[in-house]
Amino acid sequence: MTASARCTRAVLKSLLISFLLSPVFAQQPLKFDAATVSGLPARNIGSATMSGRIAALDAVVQNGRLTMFVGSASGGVWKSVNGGTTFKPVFDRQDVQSIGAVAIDPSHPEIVWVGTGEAWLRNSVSVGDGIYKSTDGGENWTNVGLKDSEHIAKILVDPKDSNTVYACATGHLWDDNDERGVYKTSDGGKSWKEVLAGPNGSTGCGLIAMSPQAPKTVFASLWDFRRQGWTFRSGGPGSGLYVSTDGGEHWTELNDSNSKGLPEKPWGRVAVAVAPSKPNVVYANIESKKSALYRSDDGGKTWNREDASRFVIWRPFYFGNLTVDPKDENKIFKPDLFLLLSVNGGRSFSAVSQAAHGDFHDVWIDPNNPNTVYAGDDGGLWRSEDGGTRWKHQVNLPVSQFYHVSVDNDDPYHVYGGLQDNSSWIGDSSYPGGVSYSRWENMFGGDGFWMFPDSGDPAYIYAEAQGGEIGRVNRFTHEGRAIQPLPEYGEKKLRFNWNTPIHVSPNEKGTIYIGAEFLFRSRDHGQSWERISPDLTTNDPEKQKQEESGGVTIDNSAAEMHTSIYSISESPKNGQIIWVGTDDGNLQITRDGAKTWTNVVGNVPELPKFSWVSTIEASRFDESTAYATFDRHTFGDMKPYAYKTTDYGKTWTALPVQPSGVRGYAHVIKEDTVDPNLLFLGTEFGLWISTDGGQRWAQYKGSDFPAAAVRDIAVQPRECDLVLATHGRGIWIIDDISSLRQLKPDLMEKDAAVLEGPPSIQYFNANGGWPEGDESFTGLSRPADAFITYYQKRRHIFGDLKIEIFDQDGKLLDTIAGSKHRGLNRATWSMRLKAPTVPPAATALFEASIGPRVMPGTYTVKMTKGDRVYTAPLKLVLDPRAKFTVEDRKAQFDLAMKLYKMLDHMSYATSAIETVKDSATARAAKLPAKDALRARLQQLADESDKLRTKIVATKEGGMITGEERIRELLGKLYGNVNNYEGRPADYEVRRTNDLGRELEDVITGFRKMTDKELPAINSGLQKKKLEPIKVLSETDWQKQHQEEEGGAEAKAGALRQETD
Amino acid sequence: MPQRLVAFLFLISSFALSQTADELIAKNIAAKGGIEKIKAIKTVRMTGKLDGAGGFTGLVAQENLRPNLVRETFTLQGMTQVQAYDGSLGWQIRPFGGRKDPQLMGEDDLRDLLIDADFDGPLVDYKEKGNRVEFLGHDTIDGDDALRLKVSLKDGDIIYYYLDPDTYLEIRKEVQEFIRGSVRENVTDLGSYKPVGGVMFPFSVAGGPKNDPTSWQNVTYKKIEVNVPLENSDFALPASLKEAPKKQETAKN
Repeated sequence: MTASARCTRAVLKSLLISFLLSPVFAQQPLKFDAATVSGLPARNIGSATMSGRIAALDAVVQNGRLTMFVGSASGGVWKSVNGGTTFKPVFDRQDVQSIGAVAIDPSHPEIVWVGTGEAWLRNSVSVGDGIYKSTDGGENWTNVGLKDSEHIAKILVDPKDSNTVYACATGHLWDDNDERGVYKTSDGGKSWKEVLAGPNGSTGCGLIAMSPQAPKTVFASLWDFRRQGWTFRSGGPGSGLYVSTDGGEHWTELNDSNSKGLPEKPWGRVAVAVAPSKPNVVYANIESKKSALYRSDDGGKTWNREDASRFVIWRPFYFGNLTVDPKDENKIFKPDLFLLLSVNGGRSFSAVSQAAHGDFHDVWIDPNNPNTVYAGDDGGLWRSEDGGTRWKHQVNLPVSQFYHVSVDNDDPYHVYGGLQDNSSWIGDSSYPGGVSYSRWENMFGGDGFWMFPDSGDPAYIYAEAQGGEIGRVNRFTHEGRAIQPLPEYGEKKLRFNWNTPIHVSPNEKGTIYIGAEFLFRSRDHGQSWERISPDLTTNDPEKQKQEESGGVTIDNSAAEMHTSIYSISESPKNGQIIWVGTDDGNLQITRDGAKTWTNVVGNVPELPKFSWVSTIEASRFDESTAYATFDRHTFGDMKPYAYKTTDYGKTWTALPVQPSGVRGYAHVIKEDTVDPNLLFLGTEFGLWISTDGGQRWAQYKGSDFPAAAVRDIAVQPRECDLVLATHGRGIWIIDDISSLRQLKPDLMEKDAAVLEGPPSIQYFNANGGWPEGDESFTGLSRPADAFITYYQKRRHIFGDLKIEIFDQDGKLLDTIAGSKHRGLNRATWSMRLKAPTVPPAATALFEASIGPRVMPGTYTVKMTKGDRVYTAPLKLVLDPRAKFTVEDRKAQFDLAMKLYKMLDHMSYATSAIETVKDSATARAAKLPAKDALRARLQQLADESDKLRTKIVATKEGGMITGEERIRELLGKLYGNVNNYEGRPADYEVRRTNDLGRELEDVITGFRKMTDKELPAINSGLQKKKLEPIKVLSETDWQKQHQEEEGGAEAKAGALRQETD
Repeated sequence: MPQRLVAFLFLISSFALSQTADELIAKNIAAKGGIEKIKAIKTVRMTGKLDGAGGFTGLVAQENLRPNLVRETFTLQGMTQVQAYDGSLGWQIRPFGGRKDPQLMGEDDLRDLLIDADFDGPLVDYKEKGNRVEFLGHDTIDGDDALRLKVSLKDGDIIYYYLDPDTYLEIRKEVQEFIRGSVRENVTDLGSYKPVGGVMFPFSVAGGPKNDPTSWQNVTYKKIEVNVPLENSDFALPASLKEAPKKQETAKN
């Protein structure tokens, strides 16, 4: 050790000692939190093919560039600075992901407002936590209030005063609350004043509108509404239309006393819009017994009833928006089932979105070029460049809203899942080149929910649309049949939930269940169904009046179907045990194969009655054990509830999820497939993990995983992957969670440890995909490298953290870098030896820029932190899909190594030749021009160079020279052999030998030449007192080469002469 | 909400709010060794190994000379790529495709180099450099606590620094480069700090495009030296490029 190195180490040591003695690290309790579990990366595989519901959008054109903010229903805010070619999520650091309103300040476009909580209040809508403001173009956000509003429909910014902003707070959907109505801030969001409130706790703001030409005049609709699990009411005494002409200080309700032509009350939801170009032109789409579009040309004093065609008045609670062209007061877009367009002031509308998805919610028209129109619907974002006639789908927004996910055992495995209004899809969990949008395949229709491969015949899948419309579909031909169980004679329709559970028996291949109020079982792929239970619900008739649902406008879409089965779980340990949970709070178990059923919900302590059983999960380890989550958000209670029983439901223990800081109503609890104490909990705001049977929970925040709803979870047992179905951000996969199984107190008490994982697979090389430009989303594939997972009790800040890989003989193969944070960490190793040495030539030989992949076997990982060393074995195995054997692989490895050594040998030879050439040239330069020895030296240099050019290509210039010498030919052969790990072809073996001979021919020629020339030349040099010329030996070259490799710093200096 | 969680959140928030950007920068500078030791360094040479995806490796080196000269190299198969900035112009040699003559760097290629050229980094003397710094509060990286600073560079680019709340050293930086109105975002994780010349340097630097962690590269410095003999001429535009325009303007909007 040099003095300076000792000094460095001493300083480092003293720093470390003082640091470790600081109070920060003095006897801290063991932490189990987000950092502990979030070092395992996750990857999002989308998809943006189907994308997801877009609730709001706003855009601005500056300097000819279009900047757009897209508010997704449950996937955050996305920003584009290039007209939609690329988007990035800008709201992922926030606690909620549901967006109701987006507004760019017209006078200061760097100021952006977001109202959280979508206001298109369907049954599956998420919730927000108020208004956010960004002053730097959406990069950073501050919550500025209205935190209890839950839903915000619109934000208006005064175009002349950035501090004046109006918020349309729609308020709670499921219960009464106070923070709802029209709010105004005059100080840029520091404080908010409620300027228009409804008469009761169920009335909030429906929409607000103003013209930028008259910003003191604000129109607002109030909406009286309420959703319950079993019904919906749009309309009531609170609904009405209001106007303020003094910037929101005073409001007047428009009624018979002050305006003419409005329909009779009661009203439901009212969409209101003011023509930007003519402030007196006001449109109101009024839900009433005579629902229609109404138009006023005098600022609201008189109204004409305009179009009332079917889709103009269709589902007002979901399509409560209107957009008037910025320059043409007679051109109006009505977002609806289709995007409707009127060009005659609302007298009639045409559907203009034939090729788009449908269920539109917002429209933005470029004020400088009304041909450019963007629209958001349940299928994502759409762009038109012809004023809204033809549409291009933006397949770069992975905001897909999955309800459920399942996986198969293919390799790579597929994921299956259904989405809100976006059918049921199969996607690749991984694909060469990435999981592009074309790697997803639609298999069904309608809204999608549960979806499974048929365990009895993998050529088929089960999928469903809303209301239990289950089908069985051929995966390859797409031939499908409806197999929904039907009512018996005299029965009303069966009560299938909107999100009807399908369950695949873990014990009997080909057996499936589906639940209405009864549980059905099929053992013949849906050819017949057995009704294996009585009505398992409360069968409360008060909750079965869906035909009255909707309020002012009837709306009975199956979304409110209630008193139905919602969750099914057959015990993997005992097929006689089946659990059923219902949406009205029953928790039933049969232990005798469905002969008798017992409702055990009364045994669940401190659980309010009728709580929605969002998941019942039978343990795979113990037949008496089960887990349940209860979702009470339909009663206005957003807290999570999770319980466990170990005695078939006789007693239940509350898992302390709320004390552990878990946020959001609980959708799903899942047991790991190996460790009974490893549990996963998905809530409306993310994923939580417990490694101690549910006593402590840590939120997963790896890879910037946002606070999106985790609606379902699957563990792929072969890969140990955790697959997350988010409702708003698509499917995410955490590859290999086996390290979570090791995260026990004895491990966590250690300063650090390398964890032994499952064998790492040497996936064969494969290419796929194709450049699709920037305007499409491609999900990441599974990493091809070996995982090295380790634990650290605290973040590694000072000194080396070195990870080395050794072979079976203790030989060091590679040193890799590792991450440094607290908790679990993951490093990866390519499983390759270092690259062969290649002689410099005209161009780089990229085929030889990586080394051969090591043989399958067991290696040793050694992690060094300071003076502490941690080791673990690392097992590598062949790709199970490989058609070749280990013997074939050995033949490939041996040939690759032979080529590798030939490249090394060639590098030596080239170096030796160049050394002679350079030495001869240097010595010749020291001799007089006419000296005979000089001529002989020059000839030696020239002949050496000729030999060199037989080995390496030398034509420079950067063009395609086509010049191939032994180096280039050998490199190509090495690349081919390295790329395919099966038995090499005979011609590759032959060619290896041939090129080896050709190389030896050159080397032999060089030796002959030097043997012949050097004695005389060196004698001459000696007489002139010049150094003799030596031929570099291969041993010396290797030594020299190793020194160079070990001392990378030499390169910085060596380079200088080259460029001067 | 349980009392202990409330207390924890209070601690975090009150801790975060009680600090200013200037205080954090001062702590960061102190953690690195103090401004005097930082300013005592006139040149830096860093040499090490780059590990890319799929087993691709090479040798890297970086040399810096006050106030803003930088030269970076990447060596593969005995061939060395050079990228350098002489204080006004960026030039490069990219030999792997068959050309070994120097060329001027295009604006897009130059941007990363300009950030590396700032000898002490943008936090030191940030006001004099025309940079603006805001403390954005407590944040997390993969769930672990960090303090987040936003540095708006004079040229409009933005760097977010994440400081370790215990040591105040940088553990991550996110760079947003605005190139003709578009944004290029890179993330770099910093670690394995060791003192050189009395100043803490990160010997482990891993990073790449923000939206593609699979293409990240890890650089492990084997050696960092300070006050090595370096001259302006070591960074200067090669003679063959001397006829080029004197000043390279970078277009920003």
